[in-house]
Amino acid sequence: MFAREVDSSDIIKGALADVIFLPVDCEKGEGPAIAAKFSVRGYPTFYAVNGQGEPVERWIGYEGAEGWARSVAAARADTRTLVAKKTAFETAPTAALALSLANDAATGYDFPVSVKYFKQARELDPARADEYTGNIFMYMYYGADDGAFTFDEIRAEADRMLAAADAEAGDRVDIASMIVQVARKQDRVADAIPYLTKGLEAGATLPEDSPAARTVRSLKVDHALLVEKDAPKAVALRKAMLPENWEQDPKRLNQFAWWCLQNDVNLEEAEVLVMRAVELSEADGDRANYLDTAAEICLKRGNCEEAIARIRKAIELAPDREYFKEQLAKFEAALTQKKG
Amino acid sequence: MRSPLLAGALAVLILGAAAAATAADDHGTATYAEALAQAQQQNKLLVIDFYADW
Repeated sequence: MFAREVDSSDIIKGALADVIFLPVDCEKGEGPAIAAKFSVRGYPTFYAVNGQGEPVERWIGYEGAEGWARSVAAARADTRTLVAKKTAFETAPTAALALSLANDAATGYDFPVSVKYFKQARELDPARADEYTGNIFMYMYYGADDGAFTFDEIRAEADRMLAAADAEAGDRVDIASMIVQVARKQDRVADAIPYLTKGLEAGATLPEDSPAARTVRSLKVDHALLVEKDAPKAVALRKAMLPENWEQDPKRLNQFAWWCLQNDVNLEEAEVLVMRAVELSEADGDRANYLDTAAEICLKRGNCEEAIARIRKAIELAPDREYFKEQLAKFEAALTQKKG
Repeated sequence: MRSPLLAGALAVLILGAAAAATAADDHGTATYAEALAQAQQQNKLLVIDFYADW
Protein backbone atom coordinates (compact mmCIF):
# COMPACT_ATOMS: atom_id res chain seq x y z
CA MET A 1 0.00 0.00 0.00
CA PHE A 2 2.91 2.34 0.76
CA ALA A 3 4.49 1.62 -2.60
CA ARG A 4 1.24 2.46 -4.36
CA GLU A 5 1.04 5.79 -2.58
CA VAL A 6 4.67 6.83 -2.54
CA ASP A 7 4.46 8.24 -6.05
CA SER A 8 0.93 9.54 -5.82
CA SER A 9 0.50 10.99 -2.34
CA ASP A 10 1.46 14.63 -1.98
CA ILE A 11 1.75 14.05 1.77
CA ILE A 12 4.39 11.35 1.28
CA LYS A 13 6.18 13.34 -1.40
CA GLY A 14 6.32 16.25 1.02
CA ALA A 15 7.74 14.08 3.77
CA LEU A 16 10.38 12.69 1.41
CA ALA A 17 11.44 16.08 0.15
CA ASP A 18 13.93 16.61 2.95
CA VAL A 19 15.28 13.10 3.38
CA ILE A 20 17.11 10.53 1.29
CA PHE A 21 14.79 7.63 0.52
CA LEU A 22 15.86 4.05 -0.11
CA PRO A 23 13.39 1.25 -0.88
CA VAL A 24 14.93 -2.14 -0.08
CA ASP A 25 13.46 -5.34 -1.47
CA CYS A 26 14.34 -7.75 1.32
CA GLU A 27 14.41 -10.74 -1.00
CA LYS A 28 16.57 -9.42 -3.79
CA GLY A 29 20.11 -8.17 -4.32
CA GLU A 30 21.66 -6.67 -1.23
CA GLY A 31 18.20 -6.59 0.42
CA PRO A 32 18.55 -9.72 2.62
CA ALA A 33 21.90 -8.55 4.01
CA ILE A 34 20.65 -5.02 4.73
CA ALA A 35 17.45 -6.37 6.28
CA ALA A 36 19.51 -8.68 8.50
CA LYS A 37 21.79 -5.80 9.50
CA PHE A 38 18.73 -3.88 10.69
CA SER A 39 17.01 -6.92 12.23
CA VAL A 40 13.91 -6.49 10.10
CA ARG A 41 11.18 -8.84 11.28
CA GLY A 42 8.11 -7.85 9.26
CA TYR A 43 7.06 -5.86 6.22
CA PRO A 44 6.92 -3.04 5.68
CA THR A 45 9.43 -1.82 8.23
CA PHE A 46 10.75 1.71 8.05
CA TYR A 47 13.98 3.08 9.46
CA ALA A 48 15.17 6.66 9.65
CA VAL A 49 18.93 6.63 10.15
CA ASN A 50 21.50 9.39 10.43
CA GLY A 51 24.56 9.78 8.21
CA GLN A 52 26.42 7.25 10.36
CA GLY A 53 23.71 4.67 9.79
CA GLU A 54 22.47 4.90 13.38
CA PRO A 55 18.70 4.48 13.84
CA VAL A 56 16.90 7.66 14.82
CA GLU A 57 13.39 6.27 14.44
CA ARG A 58 11.90 3.01 13.28
CA TRP A 59 8.37 1.81 12.86
CA ILE A 60 6.48 -1.13 11.41
CA GLY A 61 3.38 -1.09 9.26
CA TYR A 62 1.82 1.47 7.02
CA GLU A 63 -1.21 3.21 8.45
CA GLY A 64 -1.73 5.78 5.75
CA ALA A 65 0.15 8.74 4.38
CA GLU A 66 -0.54 11.09 7.27
CA GLY A 67 0.68 8.71 9.96
CA TRP A 68 3.72 7.81 7.89
CA ALA A 69 4.59 11.46 7.35
CA ARG A 70 4.21 12.06 11.09
CA SER A 71 6.80 9.37 11.76
CA VAL A 72 9.24 10.96 9.32
CA ALA A 73 8.56 14.37 10.85
CA ALA A 74 9.22 12.95 14.34
CA ALA A 75 12.57 11.62 13.14
CA ARG A 76 13.48 15.00 11.65
CA ALA A 77 12.33 16.87 14.73
CA ASP A 78 14.60 14.89 17.04
CA THR A 79 17.61 13.41 15.28
CA ARG A 80 19.12 11.86 18.38
CA THR A 81 19.67 8.14 18.05
CA LEU A 82 17.18 5.74 19.57
CA VAL A 83 19.82 4.84 22.14
CA ALA A 84 20.15 8.48 23.14
CA LYS A 85 16.37 8.90 23.19
CA LYS A 86 16.05 6.01 25.60
CA THR A 87 18.58 7.59 27.94
CA ALA A 88 16.85 10.97 27.67
CA PHE A 89 13.48 9.45 28.48
CA GLU A 90 14.79 8.14 31.80
CA THR A 91 15.52 11.65 33.05
CA ALA A 92 13.10 13.83 31.09
CA PRO A 93 10.18 11.79 29.73
CA THR A 94 8.06 13.31 26.99
CA ALA A 95 5.22 11.91 24.94
CA ALA A 96 7.29 12.24 21.76
CA LEU A 97 10.11 10.19 23.25
CA ALA A 98 7.68 7.62 24.61
CA LEU A 99 6.12 7.28 21.16
CA SER A 100 9.52 6.83 19.49
CA LEU A 101 10.52 4.17 22.00
CA ALA A 102 7.13 2.45 21.74
CA ASN A 103 7.45 2.22 17.95
CA ASP A 104 11.04 1.06 18.32
CA ALA A 105 10.01 -1.78 20.61
CA ALA A 106 7.04 -2.74 18.45
CA THR A 107 9.28 -2.93 15.38
CA GLY A 108 11.45 -5.39 17.30
CA TYR A 109 8.30 -7.34 18.26
CA ASP A 110 8.94 -6.54 21.92
CA PHE A 111 5.27 -5.93 22.59
CA PRO A 112 5.38 -5.69 26.42
CA VAL A 113 7.94 -2.88 26.23
CA SER A 114 6.05 -1.22 23.40
CA VAL A 115 2.83 -1.26 25.41
CA LYS A 116 4.68 0.14 28.44
CA TYR A 117 5.87 3.14 26.41
CA PHE A 118 2.52 3.66 24.70
CA LYS A 119 0.87 3.78 28.14
CA GLN A 120 3.41 6.37 29.23
CA ALA A 121 2.70 8.37 26.07
CA ARG A 122 -1.00 8.20 26.89
CA GLU A 123 -0.36 9.62 30.34
CA LEU A 124 1.93 12.33 29.02
CA ASP A 125 -0.31 13.36 26.13
CA PRO A 126 -3.97 12.82 27.07
CA ALA A 127 -5.16 14.70 23.97
CA ARG A 128 -4.03 11.74 21.83
CA ALA A 129 -5.16 9.10 24.32
CA ASP A 130 -7.53 7.39 21.88
CA GLU A 131 -4.78 6.95 19.31
CA TYR A 132 -2.42 5.47 21.90
CA THR A 133 -5.15 3.17 23.20
CA GLY A 134 -5.52 1.76 19.69
CA ASN A 135 -1.82 0.97 19.65
CA ILE A 136 -1.91 -0.51 23.13
CA PHE A 137 -4.81 -2.78 22.25
CA MET A 138 -3.24 -3.92 19.00
CA TYR A 139 0.16 -4.72 20.48
CA MET A 140 -1.41 -6.43 23.47
CA TYR A 141 -3.26 -8.57 20.95
CA TYR A 142 0.00 -9.56 19.29
CA GLY A 143 1.75 -10.03 22.62
CA ALA A 144 -1.03 -12.32 23.81
CA ASP A 145 0.33 -15.03 21.52
CA ASP A 146 3.37 -15.27 23.80
CA GLY A 147 1.31 -14.96 26.95
CA ALA A 148 2.52 -11.43 27.63
CA PHE A 149 -0.97 -10.10 28.33
CA THR A 150 -4.03 -11.58 29.94
CA PHE A 151 -7.49 -11.55 28.47
CA ASP A 152 -8.61 -9.12 31.18
CA GLU A 153 -5.84 -6.63 30.36
CA ILE A 154 -6.70 -6.75 26.68
CA ARG A 155 -10.41 -6.52 27.35
CA ALA A 156 -9.88 -3.38 29.43
CA GLU A 157 -8.23 -1.65 26.48
CA ALA A 158 -10.96 -2.91 24.13
CA ASP A 159 -13.55 -1.37 26.43
CA ARG A 160 -11.71 1.95 26.31
CA MET A 161 -11.74 1.86 22.53
CA LEU A 162 -15.40 0.90 22.34
CA ALA A 163 -16.30 3.70 24.75
CA ALA A 164 -14.71 6.29 22.45
CA ALA A 165 -17.37 8.45 20.83
CA ASP A 166 -15.84 8.10 17.38
CA ALA A 167 -15.55 4.31 17.36
CA GLU A 168 -17.34 3.30 14.17
CA ALA A 169 -18.82 0.02 13.05
CA GLY A 170 -15.62 -1.19 11.35
CA ASP A 171 -13.65 -0.63 14.56
CA ARG A 172 -16.23 -2.55 16.58
CA VAL A 173 -16.03 -5.46 14.15
CA ASP A 174 -12.23 -5.55 14.29
CA ILE A 175 -12.19 -5.31 18.08
CA ALA A 176 -14.75 -8.11 18.38
CA SER A 177 -12.71 -10.34 16.10
CA MET A 178 -9.51 -9.74 18.03
CA ILE A 179 -11.16 -10.23 21.42
CA VAL A 180 -12.70 -13.52 20.27
CA GLN A 181 -9.32 -14.77 19.05
CA VAL A 182 -7.62 -13.91 22.35
CA ALA A 183 -10.50 -15.43 24.32
CA ARG A 184 -10.23 -18.69 22.42
CA LYS A 185 -6.50 -18.92 23.07
CA GLN A 186 -6.91 -18.12 26.75
CA ASP A 187 -10.00 -20.25 27.34
CA ARG A 188 -12.23 -17.26 28.03
CA VAL A 189 -14.75 -17.74 25.25
CA ALA A 190 -17.78 -17.02 27.42
CA ASP A 191 -16.36 -13.59 28.22
CA ALA A 192 -15.97 -12.79 24.54
CA ILE A 193 -19.55 -13.56 23.54
CA PRO A 194 -20.88 -10.03 24.30
CA TYR A 195 -18.16 -8.56 22.08
CA LEU A 196 -18.95 -11.06 19.34
CA THR A 197 -22.63 -10.20 19.49
CA LYS A 198 -22.00 -6.46 19.42
CA GLY A 199 -19.47 -6.86 16.64
CA LEU A 200 -22.07 -8.64 14.53
CA GLU A 201 -24.62 -5.94 15.31
CA ALA A 202 -22.13 -3.33 14.15
CA GLY A 203 -21.26 -5.40 11.09
CA ALA A 204 -24.91 -5.58 10.07
CA THR A 205 -24.80 -1.82 9.47
CA LEU A 206 -21.89 -2.07 7.04
CA PRO A 207 -22.18 -2.43 3.27
CA GLU A 208 -21.10 -5.69 1.62
CA ASP A 209 -18.07 -4.02 0.06
CA SER A 210 -16.87 -2.62 3.37
CA PRO A 211 -13.22 -3.35 4.24
CA ALA A 212 -14.54 -5.09 7.35
CA ALA A 213 -16.94 -7.33 5.41
CA ARG A 214 -14.64 -10.36 5.51
CA THR A 215 -14.16 -9.94 9.25
CA VAL A 216 -17.95 -9.82 9.65
CA ARG A 217 -18.23 -13.12 7.79
CA SER A 218 -15.58 -14.56 10.07
CA LEU A 219 -17.53 -13.37 13.12
CA LYS A 220 -20.59 -15.18 11.77
CA VAL A 221 -18.53 -18.38 11.65
CA ASP A 222 -17.43 -17.79 15.25
CA HIS A 223 -21.03 -17.14 16.28
CA ALA A 224 -22.18 -20.40 14.73
CA LEU A 225 -19.40 -22.30 16.48
CA LEU A 226 -19.30 -20.62 19.86
CA VAL A 227 -22.83 -19.35 20.46
CA GLU A 228 -25.13 -21.50 18.35
CA LYS A 229 -22.86 -24.57 18.79
CA ASP A 230 -23.84 -25.49 15.22
CA ALA A 231 -20.72 -27.03 13.65
CA PRO A 232 -22.30 -27.86 10.25
CA LYS A 233 -23.48 -24.26 9.92
CA ALA A 234 -20.03 -22.97 10.87
CA VAL A 235 -18.40 -25.24 8.29
CA ALA A 236 -20.80 -24.08 5.59
CA LEU A 237 -20.17 -20.43 6.45
CA ARG A 238 -16.42 -21.01 6.46
CA LYS A 239 -16.58 -22.70 3.04
CA ALA A 240 -18.59 -19.77 1.73
CA MET A 241 -15.68 -17.49 2.61
CA LEU A 242 -13.37 -19.37 0.27
CA PRO A 243 -12.85 -18.20 -3.32
CA GLU A 244 -14.30 -19.90 -6.36
CA ASN A 245 -12.55 -23.17 -7.33
CA TRP A 246 -10.90 -23.43 -3.92
CA GLU A 247 -11.30 -27.20 -4.09
CA GLN A 248 -8.69 -27.26 -6.87
CA ASP A 249 -6.25 -25.02 -5.01
CA PRO A 250 -3.84 -26.94 -2.71
CA LYS A 251 -3.16 -23.92 -0.53
CA ARG A 252 -6.85 -23.21 0.01
CA LEU A 253 -7.59 -26.88 0.63
CA ASN A 254 -4.91 -26.98 3.29
CA GLN A 255 -6.10 -23.70 4.77
CA PHE A 256 -9.63 -25.04 5.14
CA ALA A 257 -8.45 -28.37 6.55
CA TRP A 258 -6.29 -26.55 9.08
CA TRP A 259 -9.26 -24.44 10.15
CA CYS A 260 -11.29 -27.64 10.66
CA LEU A 261 -8.44 -29.09 12.72
CA GLN A 262 -8.13 -26.00 14.88
CA ASN A 263 -11.84 -26.02 15.57
CA ASP A 264 -12.17 -29.79 15.86
CA VAL A 265 -14.97 -29.95 13.30
CA ASN A 266 -15.56 -31.75 10.01
CA LEU A 267 -12.35 -33.77 10.40
CA GLU A 268 -13.32 -36.62 8.09
CA GLU A 269 -13.83 -34.31 5.12
CA ALA A 270 -10.83 -32.19 6.16
CA GLU A 271 -8.59 -35.24 5.89
CA VAL A 272 -9.88 -36.05 2.41
CA LEU A 273 -9.43 -32.45 1.27
CA VAL A 274 -5.91 -32.05 2.59
CA MET A 275 -4.85 -35.31 0.95
CA ARG A 276 -6.22 -33.86 -2.29
CA ALA A 277 -3.95 -30.88 -1.64
CA VAL A 278 -1.02 -33.29 -1.35
CA GLU A 279 -1.95 -34.84 -4.71
CA LEU A 280 -2.44 -31.51 -6.47
CA SER A 281 0.69 -29.85 -5.15
CA GLU A 282 3.83 -29.96 -7.26
CA ALA A 283 6.40 -28.63 -4.79
CA ASP A 284 7.87 -31.11 -2.29
CA GLY A 285 8.02 -28.49 0.48
CA ASP A 286 4.33 -27.69 0.08
CA ARG A 287 3.39 -31.37 -0.06
CA ALA A 288 5.33 -31.92 3.16
CA ASN A 289 3.41 -29.12 4.85
CA TYR A 290 0.09 -30.56 3.72
CA LEU A 291 1.11 -34.01 4.93
CA ASP A 292 1.82 -32.45 8.31
CA THR A 293 -1.72 -31.09 8.38
CA ALA A 294 -3.01 -34.53 7.40
CA ALA A 295 -0.92 -36.13 10.14
CA GLU A 296 -2.30 -33.74 12.74
CA ILE A 297 -5.83 -34.55 11.62
CA CYS A 298 -5.09 -38.29 11.90
CA LEU A 299 -3.80 -37.74 15.40
CA LYS A 300 -6.90 -35.78 16.34
CA ARG A 301 -9.03 -38.63 14.98
CA GLY A 302 -7.07 -41.11 17.10
CA ASN A 303 -5.14 -42.75 14.26
CA CYS A 304 -1.57 -42.38 15.53
CA GLU A 305 -0.17 -44.98 13.13
CA GLU A 306 -1.40 -43.09 10.07
CA ALA A 307 -0.15 -39.81 11.56
CA ILE A 308 3.31 -41.34 11.87
CA ALA A 309 3.21 -42.69 8.31
CA ARG A 310 2.28 -39.30 6.92
CA ILE A 311 4.84 -37.31 8.85
CA ARG A 312 7.52 -39.82 7.77
CA LYS A 313 6.54 -39.08 4.18
CA ALA A 314 6.82 -35.35 4.96
CA ILE A 315 10.34 -35.92 6.30
CA GLU A 316 11.26 -37.76 3.08
CA LEU A 317 10.05 -34.79 1.06
CA ALA A 318 11.71 -32.15 3.25
CA PRO A 319 14.57 -33.83 5.15
CA ASP A 320 16.05 -30.52 6.32
CA ARG A 321 12.94 -29.40 8.20
CA GLU A 322 13.59 -30.08 11.90
CA TYR A 323 9.96 -29.29 12.68
CA PHE A 324 8.76 -32.46 10.96
CA LYS A 325 11.18 -34.55 13.02
CA GLU A 326 9.77 -32.95 16.16
CA GLN A 327 6.31 -33.79 14.88
CA LEU A 328 7.34 -37.43 14.37
CA ALA A 329 8.54 -37.60 17.98
CA LYS A 330 5.24 -36.12 19.13
CA PHE A 331 3.18 -38.64 17.17
CA GLU A 332 5.33 -41.56 18.35
CA ALA A 333 4.88 -40.43 21.96
CA ALA A 334 1.13 -40.26 21.40
CA LEU A 335 1.17 -43.81 20.01
CA THR A 336 3.18 -45.06 23.00
CA GLN A 337 0.74 -43.38 25.38
CA LYS A 338 -2.21 -44.87 23.51
CA LYS A 339 -0.78 -48.37 23.74
CA GLY A 340 0.41 -47.93 27.30
CA MET B 1 -14.19 6.37 12.29
CA ARG B 2 -12.66 3.03 11.32
CA SER B 3 -9.26 3.09 12.88
CA PRO B 4 -6.56 3.28 10.20
CA LEU B 5 -4.24 1.90 12.85
CA LEU B 6 -6.14 -1.34 13.16
CA ALA B 7 -6.95 -1.64 9.50
CA GLY B 8 -3.44 -0.84 8.33
CA ALA B 9 -1.29 -2.44 10.93
CA LEU B 10 -3.33 -5.61 11.06
CA ALA B 11 -2.88 -5.99 7.37
CA VAL B 12 0.84 -5.65 7.81
CA LEU B 13 1.41 -7.96 10.72
CA ILE B 14 -1.20 -10.58 10.13
CA LEU B 15 -1.41 -10.78 6.41
CA GLY B 16 2.15 -9.77 5.70
CA ALA B 17 0.99 -7.10 3.30
CA ALA B 18 3.60 -6.59 0.66
CA ALA B 19 4.72 -3.48 -1.06
CA ALA B 20 5.69 -3.47 -4.68
CA ALA B 21 9.02 -2.13 -5.76
CA THR B 22 9.24 1.62 -5.92
CA ALA B 23 11.56 3.47 -8.18
CA ALA B 24 14.15 5.34 -6.19
CA ASP B 25 15.32 7.33 -9.17
CA ASP B 26 13.78 10.55 -7.94
CA HIS B 27 15.81 10.19 -4.81
CA GLY B 28 18.99 9.26 -6.61
CA THR B 29 19.92 6.10 -4.72
CA ALA B 30 20.53 2.53 -5.71
CA THR B 31 22.39 0.85 -2.87
CA TYR B 32 22.48 1.26 0.88
CA ALA B 33 26.08 2.48 0.88
CA GLU B 34 25.36 5.06 -1.78
CA ALA B 35 22.22 6.27 -0.04
CA LEU B 36 24.03 6.53 3.28
CA ALA B 37 26.86 8.50 1.70
CA GLN B 38 24.31 10.81 0.13
CA ALA B 39 22.60 11.33 3.49
CA GLN B 40 25.92 12.10 5.12
CA GLN B 41 26.96 14.54 2.41
CA GLN B 42 23.66 16.40 2.49
CA ASN B 43 23.27 16.18 6.28
CA LYS B 44 19.88 14.53 5.87
CA LEU B 45 18.25 11.50 7.33
CA LEU B 46 18.09 8.32 5.30
CA VAL B 47 14.62 6.77 5.35
CA ILE B 48 14.64 3.08 4.41
CA ASP B 49 11.54 1.18 3.32
CA PHE B 50 12.09 -2.53 3.91
CA TYR B 51 9.55 -4.48 1.88
CA ALA B 52 9.03 -7.84 0.23
CA ASP B 53 7.45 -8.17 -3.17
CA TRP B 54 4.94 -10.89 -2.35
